[in-house]
Amino acid sequence: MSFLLIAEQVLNGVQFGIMLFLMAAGLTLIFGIMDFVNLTHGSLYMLGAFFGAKSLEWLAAATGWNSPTAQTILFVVAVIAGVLATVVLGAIIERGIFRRLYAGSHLDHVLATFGLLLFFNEFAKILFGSEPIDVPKPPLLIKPIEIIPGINYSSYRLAITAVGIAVVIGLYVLISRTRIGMLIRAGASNREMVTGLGININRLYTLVFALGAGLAALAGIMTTPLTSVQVGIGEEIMILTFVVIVIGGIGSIRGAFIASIAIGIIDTIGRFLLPSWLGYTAGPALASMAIYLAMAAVLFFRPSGLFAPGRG
Amino acid sequence: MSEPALQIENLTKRFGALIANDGVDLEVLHGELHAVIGPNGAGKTTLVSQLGGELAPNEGRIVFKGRDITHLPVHERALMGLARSYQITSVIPSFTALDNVALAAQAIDGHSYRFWRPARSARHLNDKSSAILEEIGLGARMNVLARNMSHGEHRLLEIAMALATDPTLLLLDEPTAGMGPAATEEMIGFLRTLKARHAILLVEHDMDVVFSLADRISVLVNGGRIATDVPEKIRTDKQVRRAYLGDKADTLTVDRKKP
Amino acid sequence: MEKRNPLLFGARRFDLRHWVMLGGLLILLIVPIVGDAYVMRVASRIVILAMIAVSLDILLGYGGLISFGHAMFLGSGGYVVGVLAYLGIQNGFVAYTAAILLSVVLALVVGYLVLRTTGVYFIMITLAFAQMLYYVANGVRIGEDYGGDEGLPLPGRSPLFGLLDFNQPAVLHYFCVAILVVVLIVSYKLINSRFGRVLQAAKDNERRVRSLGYNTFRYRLVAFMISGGIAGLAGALHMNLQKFVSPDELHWVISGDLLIMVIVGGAKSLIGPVLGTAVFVFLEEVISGITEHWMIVFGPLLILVVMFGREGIYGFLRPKDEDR
Repeated sequence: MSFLLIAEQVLNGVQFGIMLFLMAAGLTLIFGIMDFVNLTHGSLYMLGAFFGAKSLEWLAAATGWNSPTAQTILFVVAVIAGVLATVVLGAIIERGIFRRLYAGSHLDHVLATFGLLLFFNEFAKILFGSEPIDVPKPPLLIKPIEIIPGINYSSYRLAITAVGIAVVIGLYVLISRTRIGMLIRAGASNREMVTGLGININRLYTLVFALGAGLAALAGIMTTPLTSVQVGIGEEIMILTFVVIVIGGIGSIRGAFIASIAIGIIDTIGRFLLPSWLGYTAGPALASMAIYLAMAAVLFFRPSGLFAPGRG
Repeated sequence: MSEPALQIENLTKRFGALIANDGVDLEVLHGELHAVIGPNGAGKTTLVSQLGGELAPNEGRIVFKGRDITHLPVHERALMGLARSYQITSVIPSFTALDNVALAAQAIDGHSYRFWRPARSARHLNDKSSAILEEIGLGARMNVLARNMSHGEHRLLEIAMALATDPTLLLLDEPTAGMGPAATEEMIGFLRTLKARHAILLVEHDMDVVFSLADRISVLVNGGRIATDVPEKIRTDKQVRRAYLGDKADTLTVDRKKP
Repeated sequence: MEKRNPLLFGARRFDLRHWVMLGGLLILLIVPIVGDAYVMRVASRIVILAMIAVSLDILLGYGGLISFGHAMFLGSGGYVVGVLAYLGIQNGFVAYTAAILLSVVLALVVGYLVLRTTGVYFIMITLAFAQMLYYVANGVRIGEDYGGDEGLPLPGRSPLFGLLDFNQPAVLHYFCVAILVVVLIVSYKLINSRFGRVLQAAKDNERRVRSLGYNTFRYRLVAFMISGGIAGLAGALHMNLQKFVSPDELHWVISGDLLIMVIVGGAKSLIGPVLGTAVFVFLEEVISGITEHWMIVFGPLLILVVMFGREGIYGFLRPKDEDR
């Protein structure tokens, strides 16, 4: 097995891991701060991708620009549009529906968000059709880049990894260096205290949810040129995100980061190696087993996750 | 019996830099009511949690009926005869008082992997449970759902449940917490009837209760035990008065009016 | 406290619930006589899924364990029948027994890992495990033509004891109704037994139950296994009904559907989930006949039920003065 091939898969794994982290960060914050089980996170990923794809179509048609640079700019604009649209949607559903559910049990959360997920899937089907939409890579990022002399790697993947890392750094700064971040951290360990400080807890929750929605949408849109957009893409990554959070511990951003990268690499390498080792026509399906085995192992030794912040 | 029911040796529990229990040594003799007192933050709750098995000590050991139970899981300690009541009421809200106590009695009545006959048809469990409830004063409220009972009744139910497991040692964590004076009096009367039948480790804030009942008192301050003696000696111990009460020294000298 | 009558499923007197139950039973009994093949198929499907819903209620309503992976047993039961058929074993007794046993073993393995977690983790982990089995079913092919995403067929329904020929739909239907009644009775006894008492107490206050001397992990594991076994049997019956099993039955959306059936019908009642299943399947058949986008209606409906419908259909039927 060539070293280059493995190295490429590892890089792909890191890239996938960063995308996973965007999902996991939002979800673990929502779990940790609002104690809210949110099954619609995958739908936000999907809707973000749809909004982005449609924005790009519309922009391309409306402006008629076709130089590579212009098309790349349109792509970036479409990404931003998609994220914004999803953030707004997220804020709306949080204020309109979820806010009323926080007082309920986890089962209530699960069922209500499940209902919303079913609704969004149909909604997307009606609005965008059942056929997958292919989103082209921005022209400037089509040609591979030489990262080390002699070794080429997809420049698009590099770009989104870079964006992802920028977001990670931004999140870190937000959470640990700003006042909002302090409130978020405080809210994660002691809800009553934060309310007692006179902070409008409702607004904080909406903000956290919108942030999570935006991150999910970003991950969704950026991944679309690599896969395609269709109803159902959110579910699979959401389940993986759950696994990340279980391994990383609810409420722990650090844990989510480490677990995301680990799982991203394991999943990618697993999909790549396992089929040829096991010799079935099992394909990618069985490759995912590696993740679940890892999860089972973690559960066996540390049921609250590897990095769960100690709750009082 | 001269061997203590419970021996705590050098029990230490740390939470990061905070030392909640610092090398605590303590013993409870069979038939003794040994009270543990101390200001807030002294480490009483941590001690009880370690004895119950919910917290694992960093150092030291716990010996119960001659057996080292330091690493024994919670449920096995109960089966050995160590029963506890909780400071913050911990019953089964959706069960009646009778079913709550019957659940406790059931725990020592063989295994409960019985899937067919109704639990309520076990007459011996019901008889035992209603007898305990009568004795503790909840006889008339047997069929009331626990969630519909008052706070004072909850405190009694807590103890009734602990008693139903035929314990050797009762670990009572502030049984009179939140109770008014009349209810507290009744509780004192009831606990007095328990003395000699069971070894009791009583954690309490209410000095009336402590001084009416205790055979010996241990005082915890800042995680460490600073004194253990009979009540009269503790009452006059300078170290205790200083550490515990400061200028409220006279509450330690209130005389209990014996019934 | 007034005497509760076990013949009336623990109620004090004959009330609206019992009318509904009797009515439902009556309908199920006359469907093969007055209904056509399609209606009977739907009715049988309701009965089979109701069994799984009841088994889930044991875990959820009485045990407080929110399993988002119960579809794994629907699948395990079905696949056992399918694999045995592929291997040439058509004996109904063997097939059903194997389905139950293997589902119980599956529940033991999964439960052993999953029951270490609580709350939110438990929900997510059961979902993930069920999905893992979906991937396995999707990926593993048996022989050249079977398995994988195409599922497994059943050439003929497995006869039971050589007597009951389930290729006659009415026979299968009545058999399923009988099994459902048995499941309800067994579940009722289980809930009220000593075992059930421990399980229900642990739902309210696990910490306390442990400190009384119960190894709650083990009790819950056994409950998980019993529930899985019942659902596995239903899975085998389902496979016989459809003469087909596919990975789709293991998909987590199905687990979600099962939860909906329990909650809409009314958790912690055993009968409620049966009603919930009937409503769910009925709506699914009716509305999907009108439009393929029936989820647009159903999704929001579900949200409303969660927000406002406190105890489901069963809660609506039972007398208001009854203690729960």
